[in-house]
Amino acid sequence: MTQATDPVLSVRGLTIDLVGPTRQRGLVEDVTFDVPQGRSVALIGESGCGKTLTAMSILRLLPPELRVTAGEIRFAGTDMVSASGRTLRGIRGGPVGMVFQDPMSSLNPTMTVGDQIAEARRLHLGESRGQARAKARELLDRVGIANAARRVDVYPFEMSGGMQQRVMIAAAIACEPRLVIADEPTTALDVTIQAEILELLRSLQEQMGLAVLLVTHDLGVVADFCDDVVVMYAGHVVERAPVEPLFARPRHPYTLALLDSVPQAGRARTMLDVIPGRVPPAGAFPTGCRFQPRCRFAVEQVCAAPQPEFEPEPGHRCRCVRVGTHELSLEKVS
Amino acid sequence: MTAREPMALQATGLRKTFPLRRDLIGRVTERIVAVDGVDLEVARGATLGLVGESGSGKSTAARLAALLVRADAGRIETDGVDVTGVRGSQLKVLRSRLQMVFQDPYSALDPTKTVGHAVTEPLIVHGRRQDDLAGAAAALLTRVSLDPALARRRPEELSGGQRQRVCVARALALEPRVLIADEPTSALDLSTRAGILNLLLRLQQESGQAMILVSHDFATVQHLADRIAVMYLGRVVEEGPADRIVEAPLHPYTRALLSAVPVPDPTVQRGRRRTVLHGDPPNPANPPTGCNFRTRCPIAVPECAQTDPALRAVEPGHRVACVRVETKTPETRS
Repeated sequence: MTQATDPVLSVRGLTIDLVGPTRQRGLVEDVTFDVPQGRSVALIGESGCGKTLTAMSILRLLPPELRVTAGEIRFAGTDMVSASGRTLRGIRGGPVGMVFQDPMSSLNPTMTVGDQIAEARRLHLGESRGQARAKARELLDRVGIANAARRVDVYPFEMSGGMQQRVMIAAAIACEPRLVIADEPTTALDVTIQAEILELLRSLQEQMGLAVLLVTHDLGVVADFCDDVVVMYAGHVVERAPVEPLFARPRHPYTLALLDSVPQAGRARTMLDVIPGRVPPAGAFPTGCRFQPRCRFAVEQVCAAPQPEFEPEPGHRCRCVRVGTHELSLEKVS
Repeated sequence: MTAREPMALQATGLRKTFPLRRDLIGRVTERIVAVDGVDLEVARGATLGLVGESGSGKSTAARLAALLVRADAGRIETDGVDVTGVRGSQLKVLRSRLQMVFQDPYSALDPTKTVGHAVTEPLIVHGRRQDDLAGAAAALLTRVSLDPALARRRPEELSGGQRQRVCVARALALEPRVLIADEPTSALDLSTRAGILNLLLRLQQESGQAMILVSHDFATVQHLADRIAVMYLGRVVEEGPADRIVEAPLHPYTRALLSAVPVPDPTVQRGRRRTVLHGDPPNPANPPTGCNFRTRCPIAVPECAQTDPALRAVEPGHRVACVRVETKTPETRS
């Protein structure tokens, strides 16, 4: 399962604070996970749980008032937290590609798609205009855009959403990256297009040994595409595990609740399990386990204490003291 | 279907075109056919799910059925009464029987008005009630499981899920016979979505209104609907009981659509075979000849370019528009 080689991306104890007059600590707190080469890791959780902040912080794309105040982010040996602007520019769009949710607002509307893809090659690899253009055509072809020779010269608005997202992916893989960070890449797309995009990412992953960090809230996409899952809640990682055991035997009450809130085959027209309450806003996080006020298994004294990470089985980690001390077993519950 | 009891809503032959291009003096030179001969029916107390990809015309069809947009052709009946040409004060009365819930609860509520005003405004507009509006607001909010104290708040103070509950409460204020919900959960988070689905299910059980649920999310539709109609490029291509459509879809488009929806279970999902559709849906302003779907259809034959398939019953209550699907006789049906 895990390889002896170092992971492409390793995040250790990442903590992000809001600085300035409205200072808030621990929007993201003590987040640790790895993305090994050739694997897809999902970052899941409800909105406001810090998954996008975590993903953005890897390339230091956080707005200025948000700061990484503790922890370490290492990409292929480079310390991203202390890296210079120059180093970062060399990494963004080069060895690390990014794909965002909304292709229309991420692509430059005044540039042809060919130029946008070529830009990455020219910037990172110093290719000439002509070389980069030829490569852009090849990349469009590779991401399954028919008629690539003609499409290099069209503008993003002339394409459908699915096509635009392919262009985003083409730009993200333009410099043969080692890691692609994709933030909700298929959320705005229809399911048939989503299936094609995931298929595309999968084949690129096989060909290039690409590591993928996928931010999503769609558990179907996770089940389909990802190898490992990192579950976040209110800025904490509550559970991380390979995909099969996570779905089959969730260890953390939050993961269990999340899985139970999804409509399932054979249970049509029945009431779904709902997690009571809502994610607390930053600044109002409870001490200890942040899920505790909404947790049906919470025991006040135990859950208000800091929650260390337990490893109930190899590779499966969970931050719940009650589960860690065998006081609570979710397998008996579900 | 024999119509012993009149349907809560029955629409036949709905057609709607929108002007796409005009010449110098404003005459329409090109039209786009958004809805092309669509039949919809919902029995009292039942739910019809309307699914399809973006651009399939599902939202337009729902708006035509709600009489929010007037159809170019077709006939609409509620409870057996023809209401196609109803205008003026009669239309206003009819509106009270057909209410809508929209996708985006952020833009559906007036930010300058209180929640209490939002839910009671229909009562004022329709002259149902002038006194004790506060009491009416409290009752409506309670019905959708919101704290009546929220009546004094403004939408901006509410979460997405709470806002959508307000929209549902407002739609229910006039006790409609048919509730038409267009993507009611698409803008919501996972756990919030479960809450809204439960709410819609419970309200229907309590009050017995019919419901048309428009969604691109098959899981949602499958969870709530008794019958499902699948739309592609302005047409209904398959229509039947929800469990038959989900378990044994017959139209190649429905099959592809269903196979593209990832199941939130990695062991099941990874064992599934996917029918990948290639290409985007064709331009609705210039649809293919014959069957609309043939350009992406994995089982298309030359005949499909000539014949425009009509919906026909292939088993009791299950209709399909495809020349390649055989009619099932009782013996061959498993």
